[in-house]
Amino acid sequence: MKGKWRKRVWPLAVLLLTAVFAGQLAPWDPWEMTVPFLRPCWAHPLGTNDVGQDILSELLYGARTSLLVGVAAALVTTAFGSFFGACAAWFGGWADRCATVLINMALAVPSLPLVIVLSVFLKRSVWNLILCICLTSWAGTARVVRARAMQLREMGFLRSCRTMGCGSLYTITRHLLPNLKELIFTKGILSVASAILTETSISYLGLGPLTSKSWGTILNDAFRAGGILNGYWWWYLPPAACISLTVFCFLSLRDGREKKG
Amino acid sequence: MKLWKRFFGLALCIALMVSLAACGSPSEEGGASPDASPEESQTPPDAASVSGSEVELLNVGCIYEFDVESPYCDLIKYLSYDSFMYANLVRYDANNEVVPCLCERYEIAEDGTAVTFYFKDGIRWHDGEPLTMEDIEFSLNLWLNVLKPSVALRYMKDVEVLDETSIRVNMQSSCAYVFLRHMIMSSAGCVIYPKHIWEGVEDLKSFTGKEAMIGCGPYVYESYDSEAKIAYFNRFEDYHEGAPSVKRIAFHLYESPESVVMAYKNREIDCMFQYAAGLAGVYVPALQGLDGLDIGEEVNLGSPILEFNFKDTLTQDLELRKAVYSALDYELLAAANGGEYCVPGGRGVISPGNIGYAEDLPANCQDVEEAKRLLDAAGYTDQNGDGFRENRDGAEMRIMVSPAYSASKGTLYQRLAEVVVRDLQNVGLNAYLDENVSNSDAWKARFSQNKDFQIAITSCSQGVAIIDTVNQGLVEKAGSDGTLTWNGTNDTPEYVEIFSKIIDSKNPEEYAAAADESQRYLAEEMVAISLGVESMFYPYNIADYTDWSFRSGNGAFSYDTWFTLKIK
Amino acid sequence: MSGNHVIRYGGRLLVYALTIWFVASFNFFLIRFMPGDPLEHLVGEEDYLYLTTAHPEVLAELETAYGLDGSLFQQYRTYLFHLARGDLGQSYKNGVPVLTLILQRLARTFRLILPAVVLAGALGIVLGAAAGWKAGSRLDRWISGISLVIYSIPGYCLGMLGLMIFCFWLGWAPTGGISSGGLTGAAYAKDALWHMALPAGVLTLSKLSYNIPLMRSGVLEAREADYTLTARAKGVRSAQILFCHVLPNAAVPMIAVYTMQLGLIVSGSMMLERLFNWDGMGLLVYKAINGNDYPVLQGSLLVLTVCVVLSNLLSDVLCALFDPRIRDGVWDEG
Repeated sequence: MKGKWRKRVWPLAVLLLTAVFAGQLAPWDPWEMTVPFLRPCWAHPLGTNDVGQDILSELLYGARTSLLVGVAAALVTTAFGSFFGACAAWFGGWADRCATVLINMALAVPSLPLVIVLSVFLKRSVWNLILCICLTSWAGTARVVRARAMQLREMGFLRSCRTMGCGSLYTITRHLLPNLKELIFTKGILSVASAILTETSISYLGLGPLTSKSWGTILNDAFRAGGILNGYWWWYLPPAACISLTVFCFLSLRDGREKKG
Repeated sequence: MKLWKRFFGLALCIALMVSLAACGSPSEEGGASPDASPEESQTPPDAASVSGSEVELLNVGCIYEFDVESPYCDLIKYLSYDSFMYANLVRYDANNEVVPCLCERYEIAEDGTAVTFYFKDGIRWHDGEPLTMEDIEFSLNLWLNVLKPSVALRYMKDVEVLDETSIRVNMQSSCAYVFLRHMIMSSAGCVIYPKHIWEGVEDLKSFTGKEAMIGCGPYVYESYDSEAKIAYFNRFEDYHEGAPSVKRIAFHLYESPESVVMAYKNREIDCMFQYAAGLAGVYVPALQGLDGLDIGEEVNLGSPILEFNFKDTLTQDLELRKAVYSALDYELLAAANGGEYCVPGGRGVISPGNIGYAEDLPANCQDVEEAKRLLDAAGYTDQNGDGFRENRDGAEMRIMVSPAYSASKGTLYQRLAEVVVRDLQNVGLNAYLDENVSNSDAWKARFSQNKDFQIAITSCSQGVAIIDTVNQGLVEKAGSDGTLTWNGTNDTPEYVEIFSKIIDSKNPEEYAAAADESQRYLAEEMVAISLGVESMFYPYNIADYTDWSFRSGNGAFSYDTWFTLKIK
Repeated sequence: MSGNHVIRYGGRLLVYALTIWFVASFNFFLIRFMPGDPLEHLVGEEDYLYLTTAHPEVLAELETAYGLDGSLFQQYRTYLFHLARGDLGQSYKNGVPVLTLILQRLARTFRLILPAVVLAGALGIVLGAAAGWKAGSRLDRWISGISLVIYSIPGYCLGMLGLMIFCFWLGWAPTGGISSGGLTGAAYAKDALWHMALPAGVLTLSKLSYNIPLMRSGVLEAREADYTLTARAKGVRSAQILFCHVLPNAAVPMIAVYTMQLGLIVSGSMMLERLFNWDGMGLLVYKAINGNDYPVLQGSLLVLTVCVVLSNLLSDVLCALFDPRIRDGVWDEG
C-alpha cells in the first residue's frame, strides 16, 4: 500500500519541481514576444499565442500560479477550518451552536459567484484571489472536522485531559487535532484541487491576476483570440489537460490515502 | 407490508428512471441527426425567387442585446446611426460624408452658427400619422433639456420652427457642420421621436413596448423572439424615399464573435451589422474556407493609440516623446493588435480612410539607435550604472505605462502596454506596467479625473475618428458654455487653435484642411502615437445576393444596401 | 418528540434566514465601502462623470431615488425595506428591474439543469449501485475509473471538448443558443431539445461523475451492514438483498445530494452558459461583470443564495418524508 501511495505522489512531485524550476525549464521567457500564431515547431514545441509568446513556457509558468494559489489557499482554509471545527466541538454548547450556524451559512453562499463579485471589486492580484477562495471554502473543512471531533470529545484520553486541567488550546492543538490528521489531510488535498479549479475558472472568465501566467488565462486567450474556432488545438488542449491532470493527481492521492486509512 | 411498500416505491423509482431515460434519449438523438434539424427546413425558399428580384428575408448577425423595446436598446441605438427604424435628419454616405436623409436638404448658415433643415411633404410615421415640424422640434428639445448626458449639448442652443416644412437649429458657436456629423452618432435616445406618442412620457428610459418602437425610418419593428434571440423588422412601404428592396430583415443576436463566425459557417446569416467593430483578423482563416462569402475587409478608421500626458513633467519633454516614438517596435505592436491584418500606423496618428488623411506623412518605424541618441543628447543618461537612465538631475526616473480598462479590448491594451514597456526598457528607460487600473473606476480616475498617468495605451474609436478626429480625446478645451468639454491633457494654445478649426469648420473642405493641419502638428509634436491600422471584416453572402453597397469602416450592411440588394 | 422537531427545523430556518440577510448586507456594505461615490457604481461612470460637472442637481435627485441620502443606518433600513418588497434595483444598463431580468434567466437556467440533475441522479444511482455491488470487479474499476477521470476535468473544459467534437468536427450539434426561432409546436420542441442536448449532456456527465462514487460508497457501506448480513444469513436471495435492503438504504441519502446540487449547480452552469451561449443566469452574471452592472451582479448573488437555501429546504423536507429514521426523529443525521 505504501508503495502504491508513493506511485501516486510522484506526478505531483514532478509538478512541484516544474513550478519551482519553471524559470530554468522554460525554453523562452513567457512574456517575451516573438512571431504570433506559430504552429508547433522545434523552437516552439507548442507554438506561440496571439502576441508571439511561447505557449510551452506559459504552461510551465502557469503551473507556478496554479500551485501557488491551490496550495496557499488550501493551507489557509484547512488550518483555519480544522481549528474552527475543533474549537466548536471542544467547547460545545452555545459556542458550538453559533459556530454551526456560521458554518451552515458559509456553506449556503454560492462560492463561485461570491468570488466573482469580490474579484470585480478588489484589485486583481494573486493574493486577493487566494483571499477570495479562502473566504468561501473554509466551511466545508470546518464542518467535517467538527463532526469527527464531536465523536472524539467523549473518548477517554480527551476526558482525561479535561480532568487533568489541561488548557483548552493545549488540548485542541496537542491532542484533538493530531488525532484528526488523516481526515484533515484528505480534506486538505481536496481543498487544493478545488482551489486550483476555482483559480482556473476565474482566470478563464478573464478576471484573474493581471500579469501572472495561469492555465486559465491561456484558455481565455485561446478562446478570445479565436484559437478554438480556428482549430489551434496546441493552444487550448495542453492547458485543459494540465488542469485536469493536476486535479486528477490530487484526487487519486486522496483515494489512495482513504483506502490506506 | 413494509417490505411491499418499499418494493413498490423502488419499482416506481425504476419506472420513473426508465421514462426519464426515454425522455432524455431523444435529446441525445436530436443531436445525432442534424439532417432533421430545423436549420434545413428554415432556409429561405429561394426556388421561387427570380434573379434580380427583391430580397424576401435578409439574415443579419450582430453582437448586441435586445433587452428593451425602446430607443435605448443597444441594437436600436446603433441601428439609428444608419437611420434604420428611427430616421436621422441626415446620415453618412459611403465615404462618411454628411448627406440628407429625413430632410430633403439642409443649409448651414454663412457663419456656421445655425443649420436649417427643409423637408418634403407627406412623410409618415410607422403608425400612419404624418410627420410634422413639431415632432422634430419636440425631439431636439428633448435632447437639449431631458437627455442631458448627450453630445448634442456641446453644440446646440435652441430650435426654431420656420414654417410647415423647415426648421432651424441654432448653435452655441460656429460648429454647425460638426454638429451634423455628431448628431448622426449621438447617444442612446437621441432620435427623432413621434410627439403624439412621447409627449406625456415622464421617464423616457422606462417607456417601452410597441409604441416606443414607432419611428419613420425605412424599417418597421415586428417582433422579438427572446429565446432564439432574433429581432424581425419589415420594410416600411410608405418610406419617403421609396420602399427598400429588402422586404424583411432578421437580426440574429449573438454573444461573441466566435458565435458569429460559426453562424456564417452554418449559413444562418448573410451579413453582419456591428458598429465600428467587424470581425478581427484572427477569424479570417476560419472564414476563408467558406464558399460564396466575401470576407468584406474594411479599414478600422479608429486605432489604438499611445497617449502622452502633457500634465506630467517628464512626458511634457518633446525630446523624451521623440525617443519613445523611435523606441517602439511597430511591427510587433501591429501584429499583437491584428495579426497579419494590421500594419503600423502613420506619424499623423489619423488612420487612412478618414476625411483629410495626410498621405505624405511617413509610416511609423522603429529606430532604437536614434532613440538612444535622442535620450543621450537630451541628458537622460545612466549615472549610477544600474542599466536604466536617470533624470537630468540624477534622480531616479520611472515611466508608468497604463493600459486603458475596457471589457472588450482591455486584454489588447494590456498586451500593447507590455510591448511598450519592453521596448522602453530596451533603450534604457525604466518603464513599468501600471497594475492599478484593473477596473473601470480606477482607470477613469487616473485617466480623466486625476490625470496622473504618464503614458496611456488607449484607442481612438471609429466614431470619434469619423466625427471630429482623434484630436478630440487629446485636447483640453472648454466648450462654448464654459464647462470642460474636451477632456484631454494638451492645452497648448497652438494645438487648441488647430482643434478649434476642426470644430468650427463650415463645410467638408474646411474640415479636411483642418484635419490635415492637425496631423502635421501631431507628427511634429508627438502628442500621441498610432499603434497600428487594423483591418476588420464584415463578411457578406455573394452566392445568393448581388448589388451590395458599403459604408467606409462599416461594411456591407449599409443604408444603401437595403435599397440596392437583389437576388443573384 | 415534536418539541425536538420544532427546535431542529426552527434552527434550520433561522440559519437560512440569517444567510440571506448576511448576503444582502454584504451587498449593501460592499458597494458603500468601495472607494468613490456609491452613486458612481449605481449610475455608471460615464453618466456620473458628465453629471458631476454639468448637472449636480440631477445627481442629488438620484441620490434620493437610490436611498443614498441620510445616515448609514437609515440607508440600510431603506435598502432592506426595498429588498423585502422584491425591489433589487434596476440594471443601470437598460433600466429594467433586476428581479425581472433574473427571474427570466433563472427559468432558462433551470431548463438546462433540471434534466441534467435528474438524468445524472438516475444514472448515478444505477451505475453507482452496479459499481458498489460488484466492488472490485472489472465493471467497478471501469465505472469508478472513468468517473474519476471525468470528475477531474472542469465542466468548461469538458464543454470545449464537446463543442470541438460534436459541433466543429462532426457538425451534429448547434453552436449554441436556446432555439432557432420561428418555430412552433412539435418542431419547436424538437429544435429546443436539439439545442439542449450538448450543454445538458456535458452537465449531466460532470454531475454523474460526482454522483457515482457517492452512491458506490453508500452501497458498499450498506452491503457490509448488519442487516444485510442478517438477510444473507437467513438465506435471502442476492437480488432481493440488493433491491430490498441495500438500494433503499443507499439511495435515500442521495436525495439530499441531488436537491443540494440543484441549488449549487445554478452557479456551476455559469461557465457552460458562456461557452454554449445559453442565455441564463450564468451569462447574465458574466455580462454584468463586463458591463460593470453592479445592481445585476449583486442581485444575482442574492438570488443564487436564495436558490441554495431553497434547495436545502427542499432537501430537508424530502429527507424527512422519505427517511423513516429522520421522520420519526430517532436518528440525528448530523
